[in-house]
Amino acid sequence: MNNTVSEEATELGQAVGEAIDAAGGVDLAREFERDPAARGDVVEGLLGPLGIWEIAPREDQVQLEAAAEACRAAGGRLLMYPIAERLARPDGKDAILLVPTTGRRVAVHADLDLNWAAATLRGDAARLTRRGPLIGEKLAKFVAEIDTEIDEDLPQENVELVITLQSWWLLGVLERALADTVLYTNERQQFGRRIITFQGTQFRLSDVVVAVQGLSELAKYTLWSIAHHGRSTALVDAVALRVSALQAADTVLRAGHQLHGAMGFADETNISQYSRHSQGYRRLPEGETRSELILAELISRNGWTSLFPIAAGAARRDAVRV
Amino acid sequence: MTEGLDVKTRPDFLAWLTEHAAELADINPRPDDELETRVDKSFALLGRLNAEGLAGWGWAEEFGGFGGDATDRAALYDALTEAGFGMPEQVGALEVLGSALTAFAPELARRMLPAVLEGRELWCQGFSEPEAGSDLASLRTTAKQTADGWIIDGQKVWTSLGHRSRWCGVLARTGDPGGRHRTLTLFWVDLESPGVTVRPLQTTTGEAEFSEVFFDGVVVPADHVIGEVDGGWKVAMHLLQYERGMWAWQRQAIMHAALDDLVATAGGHPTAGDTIGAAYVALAALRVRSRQTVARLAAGERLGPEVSIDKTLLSTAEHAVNDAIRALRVNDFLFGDDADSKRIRGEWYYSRAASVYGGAVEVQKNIIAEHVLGLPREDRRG
Repeated sequence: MNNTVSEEATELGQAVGEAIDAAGGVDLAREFERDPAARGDVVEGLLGPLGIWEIAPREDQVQLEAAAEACRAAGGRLLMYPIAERLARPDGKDAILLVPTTGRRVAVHADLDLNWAAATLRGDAARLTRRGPLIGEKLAKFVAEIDTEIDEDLPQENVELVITLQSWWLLGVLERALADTVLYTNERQQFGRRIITFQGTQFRLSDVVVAVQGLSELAKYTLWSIAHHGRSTALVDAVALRVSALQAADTVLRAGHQLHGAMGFADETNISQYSRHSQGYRRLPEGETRSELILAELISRNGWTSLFPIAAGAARRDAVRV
Repeated sequence: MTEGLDVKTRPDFLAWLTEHAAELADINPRPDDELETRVDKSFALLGRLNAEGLAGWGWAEEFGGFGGDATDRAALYDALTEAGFGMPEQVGALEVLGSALTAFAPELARRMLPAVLEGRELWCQGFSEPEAGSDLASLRTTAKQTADGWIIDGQKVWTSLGHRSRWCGVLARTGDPGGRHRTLTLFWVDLESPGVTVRPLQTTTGEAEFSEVFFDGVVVPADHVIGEVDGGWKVAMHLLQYERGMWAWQRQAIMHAALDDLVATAGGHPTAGDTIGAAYVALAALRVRSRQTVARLAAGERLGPEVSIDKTLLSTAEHAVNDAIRALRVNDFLFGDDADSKRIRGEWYYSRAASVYGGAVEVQKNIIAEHVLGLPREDRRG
């Protein structure tokens, strides 16, 4: 596999980051919370001129990496806009929405007036029969009601792509949360010293770094897998990446809250924003437990090609027995 | 629930509350009420319970109570949640500051306690500052002595219910800042005094549960010193027994009710057994430990650093119980728009604070390591 990202992709990520920073960075999330209807035009104005909607991630690995880096940069500024969903759009559509298979029918960003394709985490196609307004509750400022019809026999193209790109967005959020937490613990003085000098703080931050680095490597592996494997294998890897992202998010944001102390509970701090606004992607279309169940199902159905062929062989043998 | 308390009081709180629950429904501060409503109802409920001869047990008669000890108060808190009542918002600060007043300023206690017990007033604790959280001894709010009292200047933060409180126990510096914990004094400050500004803070949950409190030349009478001048640390350590001990007891009662409710609403969830079981184990450990702590407080024992174990068990249980609720009711947690969903969201975020308030869990672990186990102190250079 190739675990480095091309220079072109890195440069695009930087450009996306700079454009969002120039417009306020994380403060844009606060602005969008006050006026969610504004986000379509604002983001179009920021990212359109960079040509990111011309990226065709299916064409080659460089464009795939560029799409991923754009999502990571957007996540790193908590850009509350369906950048992953738009970059992963199937032919003839504006964007692709992941919809839940159980519980209340809702989806992140479904309020935006786009020509949506839709699919489940299992890879089945879905049809949106209704898009409602935003729910607007504290943890669901950008989550809207939907109605769907799921077609369990019809695979939807680009599902693995949108799952992967969303995980790259989440990776960006977590990297930023880590960076902010390091910054805060470096500045915060208690007991006459910066709290980052306490071993307890250092251990906690180390756990976070391990979680983020592990996710980052897996995210790069998954891009390679999408570019080199058939759809069924790539879907397994994409859902595995999602599970990993959800686990990492828990480690990172728990530590972020704890190390920010009481400050982390005041909405004026960014850690509170990351924690609140990432809830949608972390719980939808399926939360951690259901994502794990779906991953197990997909592995037994599609098989599993991993970096570690022995384990993959064992999994295939088990799958046959099941 | 595990074994109850050895209650000496009459009447039987649980029987009385169960019998009158329907009649008191309008003044029950339900956890799914908005904060301001909960405070209003808490005033009404505590006042009524006091008039009926219930709230007031556990406080000496000279302070407006009915006699008894900490066990009686703990029994009332337990019975309230068991009978389906929300915990009155006053009792957190009452335990902490009431205990300090009765032990170190009995004259003030005689004047102040009845207003809380009768449901007329609420208090708050002015300890944390922007630069002094877990490291309380570095606080910067000052009190300067005048001919007939003190002048307080400075700022407090994370003051729970500051915006609804009449009185605040303010820890301030009365000497050289280099003296750290040796130059602190606890004052009893009227928040209606000129020079006091209270600004509620917007939190992650959306509830303005805590405030910033600013003191700009606030005059405090000489007889509003709790304990001795420069003796504030001793008083603070005394009240921490209640903050870490009795507060944990109140929270375990609240969490038992929440877990009960979870079993009723989501007990059939595929992972309910595992999730609820783990939470229950954490909660049972807290209750047993806390029950012993309450009995020791009641017996007049001086609790030492071991009360940090209670606080640590509390934060573990808070995380486990509220994580279980989130896991099993994830739809409600994420986007439920009814009052109960708002409650579980608020409680979950509040549970994260349990490992921060009253001394962060890292500090509790340090205390356990250095003062309970007697391990060497962490190197202070850095």
